Amino acid sequence: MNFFFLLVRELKYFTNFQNKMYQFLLFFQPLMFLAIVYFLQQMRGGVNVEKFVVASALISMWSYVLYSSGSALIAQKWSDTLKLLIAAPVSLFQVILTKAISNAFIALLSMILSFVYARFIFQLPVGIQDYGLFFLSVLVLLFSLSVVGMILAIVFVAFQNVFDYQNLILIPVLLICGVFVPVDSLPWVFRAIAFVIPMTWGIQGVYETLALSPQMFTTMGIALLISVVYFLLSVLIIKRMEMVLRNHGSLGAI
Amino acid sequence: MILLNKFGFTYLSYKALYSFQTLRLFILFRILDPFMHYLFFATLVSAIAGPDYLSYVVLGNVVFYTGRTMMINFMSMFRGERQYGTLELNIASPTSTFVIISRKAIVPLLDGLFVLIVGLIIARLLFGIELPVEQFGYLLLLFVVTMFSLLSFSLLFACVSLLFSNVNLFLNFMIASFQVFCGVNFSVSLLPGPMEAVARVLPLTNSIEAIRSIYQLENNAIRPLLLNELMVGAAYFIIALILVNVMERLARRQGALFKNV
Repeated sequence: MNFFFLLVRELKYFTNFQNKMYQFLLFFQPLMFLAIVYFLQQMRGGVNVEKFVVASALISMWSYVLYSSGSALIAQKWSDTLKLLIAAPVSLFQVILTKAISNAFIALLSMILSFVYARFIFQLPVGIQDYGLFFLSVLVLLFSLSVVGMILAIVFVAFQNVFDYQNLILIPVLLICGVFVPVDSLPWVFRAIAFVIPMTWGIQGVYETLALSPQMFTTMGIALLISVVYFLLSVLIIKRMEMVLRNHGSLGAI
Repeated sequence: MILLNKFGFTYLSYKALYSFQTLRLFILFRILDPFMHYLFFATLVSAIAGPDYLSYVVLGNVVFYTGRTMMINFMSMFRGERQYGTLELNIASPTSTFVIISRKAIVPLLDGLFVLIVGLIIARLLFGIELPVEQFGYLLLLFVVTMFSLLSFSLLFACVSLLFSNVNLFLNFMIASFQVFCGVNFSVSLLPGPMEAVARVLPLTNSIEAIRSIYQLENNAIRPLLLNELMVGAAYFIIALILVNVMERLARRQGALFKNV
């Protein structure tokens, strides 16, 4: 019950119009990228616009998850409420999980908004052939994003300086995960990194569902498998974090 | 002594309000971050419009990133003064407000210039965009004109930002608008008529077209473009000057400057 209560509170907080920090990411950023796609496709005929409409949505989704989940715990640390979370009747794991899930679902809202803008403002085709399959692949992507969000929350709170480099993480991840250029065309070093990021498979799954590729179920399966591994790993780390916090009253030891 | 006082003021302002105090952060945010930005848009545009547009986009983004840096710097400067309650003290000081702002502007100006030069070096070394040595005179002229127009607009932008309770949203919105309106990734001639008219009165638009022409990626005449940019810059400079004076008069009359925010 606490879990759902927390989830609803998180969703309400981040979709609140008073929360101006995220208004740009949710409402304006998709407009900017779609405008760029709209004018660029006029420069060259025969562009697969559908892929780039989805890519615009993915950029917004990733930006939102990076900034919101990444700062989820560090913001608590700064406002000195992290200790209160430890004393709360719900576990730290549940708190982080609700934040990661709610952020992933708001990222979905950003995707839907991107599609609405694309269809009704820019008159660009979204190109979804099978809505059921597409929704399934988006669910898998959301799971990957939630897991990545949990990891970001942990990393950012454990290493304070990482927060300074948030902007520097945004773009490399988009490039490596194959949002624009297929992962297979990257140099082997980046390909190796890409294959261990759950989002890479989630994104590939979405693109393959758009093209109704026969490999889509395999890709979605791999995305789920890798995400589950990271999920279990993050559960262990959060438990350890909670223990350190209870014993030392601070997170400096991590 | 006079010189020492003048530069001391600029140095103190830099130490108090400039966010990158360490060399490591400076390298990360003034070399690596712009490189990531150019790489991102180069990949995006190459994927949609083809690799032929890589040079076109990188050069557009080099100028855009310079503008972005200056706007953020100016806005942070005003936000810092507002946050720490020293904005009113500038007005109460016996030195003219405009002179105070001008001295503080030296740091954002140098920072912007550094970003522009580093951007062109990145374009040469990492994207293989050849520097046109024979057009060096025009390139120098472009530096001067672009810096002036960006400085003028950033000053106006920072003054206007004082009207907003959440300046970050305003800043992000403006930066995103510039990305679309100033022809950073595509030619402004693709914009519908009224949007193109807006683009023509924004800073950067003419500079971006001029730099592409200097690099021989477009065939526009360079001098008229630079002259237009200079006129746009002068117009913003005059408006900013008027706005600073109005702000000063209002503050003196009311004894406060945006205290309710």
